[in-house]
Amino acid sequence: MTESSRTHGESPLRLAAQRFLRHRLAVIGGVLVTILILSAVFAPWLTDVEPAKTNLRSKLSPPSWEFPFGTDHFGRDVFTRMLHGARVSLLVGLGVVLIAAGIGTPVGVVSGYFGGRLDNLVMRLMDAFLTFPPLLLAVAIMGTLGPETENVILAVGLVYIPVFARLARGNTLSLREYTYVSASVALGASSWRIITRDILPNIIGVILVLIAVTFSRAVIAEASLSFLGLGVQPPTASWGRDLNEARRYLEDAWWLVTFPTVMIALAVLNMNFIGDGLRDALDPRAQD
Amino acid sequence: MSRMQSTRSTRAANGGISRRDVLRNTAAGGAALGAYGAGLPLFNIVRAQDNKITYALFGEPPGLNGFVYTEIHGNVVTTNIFDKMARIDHATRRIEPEMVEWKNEDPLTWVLKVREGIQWHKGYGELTGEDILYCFNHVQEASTFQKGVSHFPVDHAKLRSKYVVEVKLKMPFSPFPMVTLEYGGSVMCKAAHQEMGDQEFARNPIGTGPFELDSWVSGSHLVLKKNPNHWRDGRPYVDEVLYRVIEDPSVRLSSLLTGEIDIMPRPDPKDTPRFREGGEPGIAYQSVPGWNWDYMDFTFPPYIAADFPTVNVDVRRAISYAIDRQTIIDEIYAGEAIVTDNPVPPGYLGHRPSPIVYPARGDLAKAKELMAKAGATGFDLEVITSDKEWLRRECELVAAMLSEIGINMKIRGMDVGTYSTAWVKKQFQADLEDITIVSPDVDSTLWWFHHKDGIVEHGWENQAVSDWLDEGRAELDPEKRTTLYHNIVDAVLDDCPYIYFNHVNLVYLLKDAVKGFHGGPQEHVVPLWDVQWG
Repeated sequence: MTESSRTHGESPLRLAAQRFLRHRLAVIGGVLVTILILSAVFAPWLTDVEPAKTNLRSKLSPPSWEFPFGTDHFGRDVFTRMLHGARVSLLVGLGVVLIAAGIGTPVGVVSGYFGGRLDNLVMRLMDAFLTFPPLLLAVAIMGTLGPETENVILAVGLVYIPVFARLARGNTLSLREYTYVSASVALGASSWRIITRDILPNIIGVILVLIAVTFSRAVIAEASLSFLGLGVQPPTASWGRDLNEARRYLEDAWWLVTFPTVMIALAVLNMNFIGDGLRDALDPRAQD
Repeated sequence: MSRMQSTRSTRAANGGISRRDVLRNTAAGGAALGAYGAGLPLFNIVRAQDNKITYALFGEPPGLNGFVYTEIHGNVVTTNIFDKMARIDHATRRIEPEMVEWKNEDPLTWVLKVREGIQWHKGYGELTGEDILYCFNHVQEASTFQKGVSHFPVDHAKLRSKYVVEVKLKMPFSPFPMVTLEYGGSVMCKAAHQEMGDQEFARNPIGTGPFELDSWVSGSHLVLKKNPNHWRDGRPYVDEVLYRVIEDPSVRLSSLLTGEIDIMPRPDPKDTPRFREGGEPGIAYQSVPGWNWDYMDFTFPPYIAADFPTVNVDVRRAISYAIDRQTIIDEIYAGEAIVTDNPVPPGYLGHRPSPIVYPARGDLAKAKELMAKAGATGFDLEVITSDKEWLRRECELVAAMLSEIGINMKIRGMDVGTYSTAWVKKQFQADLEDITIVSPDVDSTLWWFHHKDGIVEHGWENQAVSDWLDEGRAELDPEKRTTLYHNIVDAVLDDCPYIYFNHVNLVYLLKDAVKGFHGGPQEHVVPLWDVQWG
């Protein structure tokens, strides 16, 4: 079968899936992230130890059969805390992309499609947000809202709204000049129909890539805020908070700093691999 | 341009060094190497040559105006910038005159005689009764925090002569010198404060203390220079104090070990055993029993719903029984604290060996029994705390203890400003914090917290306790006072509006060569005028 006949015979989605599966790192990333998600979801069934349960007689125990990742200064099981920490990190990642993509994308598309004063006003507002370093802005928002998991999601989500809005607007500006959009306008299609049927489906690819990247950034942001004491509050397990506490025992208990670091790195790296795979898979120029 | 500056500039421009420079540097290097060879730490020699001391603050002072800010870090610095009307001698637990001497003419009249010849920093002239009067009036007019805690019995003050001030009280108040003249006895320069206003004065304080502020770089350091006109004979001994803001205890410790700082408070408790046991040559260890307590307290209606579980006395008693106080001391403070279940530390009138009611190791069976009796079968309890890292850890440990009796403790850490507001405005369910007692009089460890008019009493109204507190304040006979304070403590132990955990020792690490440093029992008072290089 020639390349041409193959591409003509299959749906774009199927082709994208095939390209994604050919991206080895993306597949590995997908598998590991899936394992991470399943571990987080089923954490209470994978370990019967409470993450905040202290066991002072076993404090600072190195990894063993009883404690696969060792124990911390209160004798808490690090393996259990990593699993429960994954719940927080992944929840924050999910919440952040829902807020950022859910608000940023429509705002960018509407702004780019209608243009004019509305576009100017919205984009200057987004520019104002973008002038702040993301983590600093999140710290400021957290300082106002107070340290809670929901507030971490809100703060980091707000920070990434302009990123989605900018990307969606840029792509909309380009797409609205295409002849098929002009044709829809000439046929009398409503703006709503043009945005939902002609524009959104054609920018979904880049938005998906950005979602993957933002998810990994959100995981880092949560860990950073918790590390600074502004994120999830103890005794809730959090990779960032546990890493902060682990600094005290850098010389005495290597496992305390190692496992949260590995978990954060795994989550971030693999989400980025997925993002890379999606970018290659959904890029029309990469078809050949 | 002066001749000296000109010469230096020319030399620098030429890129050369003089013969004198070579000789001086060689001699200094030789001395340092000789000292090093003799086993003396090199950094001590360098500091002693400079005759300056570097002290690590564990937080940034928000300001240096004692009438505006009440936190620890600013007070550590202002101890050395401002004198007070009176000062506590921590060794004798007595109050000593500092800027004024006092006389009680009748129960409502105190006469303050200002020490003559004390000069304000930076040429602001001599301290007089005008300055003292200005401060008494400022507290009332600006309603500073002193009005509620130390100046509440003051009716008015007036000037009798240039150096004599008369203070009239609304009620007899025996702790007047201890509480009003010491804790509330900061004195600021009238002329400077009027010229600058509160905020500017807080950045450029003018005091009469042994050191004056030279420079302040926010988030980094403050430099104090010796006050050449200070009234204490021959003191201060060092020419300069550099306060470096180092929040992280591990960074403070490495700064001490590398010679960047000379004195550090609050080492990480996990590091204290090796210093306590003398494991580090050249580093001295000081541990001072603190006038303080760690505690948990609760709000009461109308500040919380009447049916909230902690309003039930059995739930509060259950919490007190569930707390393993000894474990807190072992795990959070590395043994540097003593167990208590009441607010009267050793050395205070009315102290009894603690714990009196609640066992040091807790009594989980009794706690569960009380929870069952109260019908409290598990609930969420939000506990606020400030941003002190040892308290966050203590909260985690207490949360684990309370989970054993079905209480799901949610910790809410706050910056110190937000925390203080929430605490004073009673906007919380429960609170876990530490506090320093402001005077060695037992009144100061009880009245504000348990009297119905106390500013940090959170809705717990016990008329008998309020009456005993008022009686104790006016009573001069120690035996009668002791009985009254025992009654109060017993009532508090029975009803648990506050639950006390421990009195924490204040630990300092310093270079061996630093002499004359005595960390006091109050964390916010750290005098450095007796410090010198040995």
